[in-house]
Amino acid sequence: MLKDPGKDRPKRRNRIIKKIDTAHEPENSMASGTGSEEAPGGTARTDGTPAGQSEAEPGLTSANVEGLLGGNSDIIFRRLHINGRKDLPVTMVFVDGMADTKSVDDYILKPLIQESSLGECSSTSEIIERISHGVIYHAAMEVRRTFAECVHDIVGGSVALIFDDVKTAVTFDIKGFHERSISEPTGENVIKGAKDSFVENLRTNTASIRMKMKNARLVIEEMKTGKQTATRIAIVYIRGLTNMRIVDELKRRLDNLDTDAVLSTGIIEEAIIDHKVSPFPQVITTERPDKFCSSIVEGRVGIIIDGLPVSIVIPGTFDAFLQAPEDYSQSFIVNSIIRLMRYALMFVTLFLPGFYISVSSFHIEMIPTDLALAITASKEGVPFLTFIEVLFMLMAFEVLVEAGLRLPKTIGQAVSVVGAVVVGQAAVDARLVSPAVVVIIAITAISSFTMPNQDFSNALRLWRFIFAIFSSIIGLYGLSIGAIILLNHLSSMEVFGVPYLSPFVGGDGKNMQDAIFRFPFSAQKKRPMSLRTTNKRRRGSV
Amino acid sequence: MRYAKAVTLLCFSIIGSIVMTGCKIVFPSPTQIQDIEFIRAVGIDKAPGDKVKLTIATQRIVSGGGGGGSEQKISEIVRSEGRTGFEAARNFWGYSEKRPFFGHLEYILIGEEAAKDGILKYLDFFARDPEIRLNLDVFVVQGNEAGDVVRMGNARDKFVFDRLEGIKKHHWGLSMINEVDLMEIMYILDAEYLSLYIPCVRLIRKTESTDGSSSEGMDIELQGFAFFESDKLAGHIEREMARGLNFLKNKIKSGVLNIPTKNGGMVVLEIISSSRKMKPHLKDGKLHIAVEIDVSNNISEIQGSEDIFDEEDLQYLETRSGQLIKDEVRKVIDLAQSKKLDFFGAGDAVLHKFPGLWEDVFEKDWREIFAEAVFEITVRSRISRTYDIKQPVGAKDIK
Repeated sequence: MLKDPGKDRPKRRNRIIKKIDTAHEPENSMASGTGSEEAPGGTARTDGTPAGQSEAEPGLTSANVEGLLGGNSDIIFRRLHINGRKDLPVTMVFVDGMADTKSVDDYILKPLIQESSLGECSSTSEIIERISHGVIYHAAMEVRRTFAECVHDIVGGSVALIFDDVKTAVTFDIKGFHERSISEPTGENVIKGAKDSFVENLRTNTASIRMKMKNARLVIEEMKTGKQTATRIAIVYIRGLTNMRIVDELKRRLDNLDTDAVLSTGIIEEAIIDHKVSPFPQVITTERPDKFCSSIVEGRVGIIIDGLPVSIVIPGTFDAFLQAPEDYSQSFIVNSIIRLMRYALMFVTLFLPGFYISVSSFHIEMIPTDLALAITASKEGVPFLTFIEVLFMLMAFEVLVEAGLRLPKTIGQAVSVVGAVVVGQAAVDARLVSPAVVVIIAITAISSFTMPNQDFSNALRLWRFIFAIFSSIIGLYGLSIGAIILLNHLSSMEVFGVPYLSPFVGGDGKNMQDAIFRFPFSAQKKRPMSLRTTNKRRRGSV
Repeated sequence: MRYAKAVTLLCFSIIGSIVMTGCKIVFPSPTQIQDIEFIRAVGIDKAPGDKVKLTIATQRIVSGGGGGGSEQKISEIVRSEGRTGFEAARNFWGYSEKRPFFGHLEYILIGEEAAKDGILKYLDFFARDPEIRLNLDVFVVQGNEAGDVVRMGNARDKFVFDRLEGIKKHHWGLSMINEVDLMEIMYILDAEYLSLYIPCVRLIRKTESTDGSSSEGMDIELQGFAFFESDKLAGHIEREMARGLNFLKNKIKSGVLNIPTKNGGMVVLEIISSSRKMKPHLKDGKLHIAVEIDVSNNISEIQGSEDIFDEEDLQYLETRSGQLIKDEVRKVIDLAQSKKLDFFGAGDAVLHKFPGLWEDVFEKDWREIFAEAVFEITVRSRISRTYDIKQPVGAKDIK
């Protein structure tokens, strides 16, 4: 029975893998949206493999499957005789660890061996008929007639019963691998708010979304991307509310994505954004289902990637990066002031080092006299030019941040101690930098930590350096030129046809209820205008 | 392609905006803040041989030596001479180890001789140099050289600029000076019909040092105005008259009015607010200007035990205080008219009231018309509050 693992196998396996790839091209896996029928934990979408491609493919037999997967230690092949009848052989194949062994034993193996009604069958096709009508008690079942489909189900965690004589397989989706349970978000913590976060499992994530939005019009479409990983990607939107042009464009871009593996959000992000040379984030990434859902309700489109506990929301506009999840659980008055402060601090963290360089080396008359004298006194004995001092300190800060990120938590604290002592105290005592510069950089750094979005904060980090360099050349004039370039860059950006700076541009200032100030919810009457949602009014019925 | 075009355009506009600024130096070299000398006050004097003498007071902070020593503010006085103001300012560069920096200059003191000589030639450099602020205050030194005030007013721990700053800030209690900045001076000198007035500063000896260490130190007093014919010093106005001028300029914040009572006592009123209206009108072909002053007072002090808190007495006090103010104002107007110098800005009021007539008739002959104009002064003085003690101590029948 067992086929000899001959010399020709590697060659053959390559050929089969190639065939699987072509069978799972993303465009083929995209079917029209029927996501609302999908229940959490339900069956995965059928991959519509074009009939024309199955000609050259090997037949769906246990021998062929074993030829492809046989060398793997974690794949279990089990030859069984149904109800003890030797004329009804079947091969059970599954990946050990991905399928739930207990369920396999109880709900598949047991009826297969013990169910007398199966023993009465005369042929395997009759057995398949009976199985598909419920002799084996498992909800998620598929009848597979092509090799590629079957193999894909197996590596995806299903249990396959292969009937060699009719070249048909029945697959049961009994995923049972260990996954991380839903835990508190690590990066976006809030005090008053939901404490759940996304996990690695796509299905769990879609279930969390459905739990938050019991809406029949919520669509969760799925597609597969990645030549080697065939990662499932779910696109989430609300039919009748979301602008379908954004959804279609997103699908088109994901279809065109040509990659080996989708193991990070970066691959997807880079594939779908418009301006690839910009440091500014153009998609919102979040690990919070509530934030994800509120964006969907606003009219944005969500993407969930299997295997990643973060989701992507498009289009990412400027104002979204300055909104924190906590914003909506506070009084709108308090929150408006905090928002205002956040916007102000954005300018501080961007411009302060450049501004300091400008006023202390080009526009000394601008500084209040007493402050100027204090700066002079603090710079006494420091041999470097102001902008070298500032750049040095900015670098030191970046180095500390980077070092703190990479190290394990326990050693990370040591870095901050060294950083505080070396940079804060020793550098000043050694007259390498003046205390004034330390204060400036400290203010800059602390301001940057108030940015709710890390990607956005990183973009500001980069521009801060640019501004510092411009300022060191021609002072405030250079700073203004830099600011003009930045404004030019930001205002020329569009994400999925939505102006990046909206609602500050293009809305005649009418759509500012949730921008710098957060108005009370009752005053937020319209969804973001720039998203061009089909359903324009908030709380409007679809 | 469109993107490339946009980038090219952006590059051109940036390069253009840098290169075509109109500055000869496209990339100015940065100044190190520790390499400059902060000049806070400058005294301008006329030196023998038609030269300009500048006396500057600088300020810097020095640390007490070593790490962690207490920081100390010090100020130095440096002198320089030159044929012109600019030359004198540049001469500092020859012997100052740090670059003299006028960007933080706050006070210009003009010596009496220089003021008599005509201040325009001394001030032009300060108004023209881009480094110098135009909102700095200008004072005229009365009776001394400006250099003396800068030098002698600069004690070990009290610097001349700090003193000027402090006195200027708190002088509202007397309202006998009024700040005039460089910009206003230039404006007045430009407007031919207006005459220049500048507050005065002088050296006095008021503070007694207990240890006798700063015996050479002198105090500075800000008080009164100097008025100018064109740019040459023409005379001084002092104390009450200076306050009269402030009444006319509507710059009164507070002040003290001593009113004798009917029975020989004294009641002291504190001015708490004042507003002035100047309403020009023509009567019988003559220019009349109605000056209406509204003053509100508090009673701050009552000398004697006379009970003045009845309607009749309060009315009497109001009338007397009104009369006092009217006299002060009248004296200033008389002086101005006799010198034919409109230093309180009657011309502006007429200009705004009769813009057409001003251009045709008044402007070219304003000094004569001003001297002939009739000023009708009305002062309404009110006593608003009387503070805590209603009746004075020892009053006969305490209610």
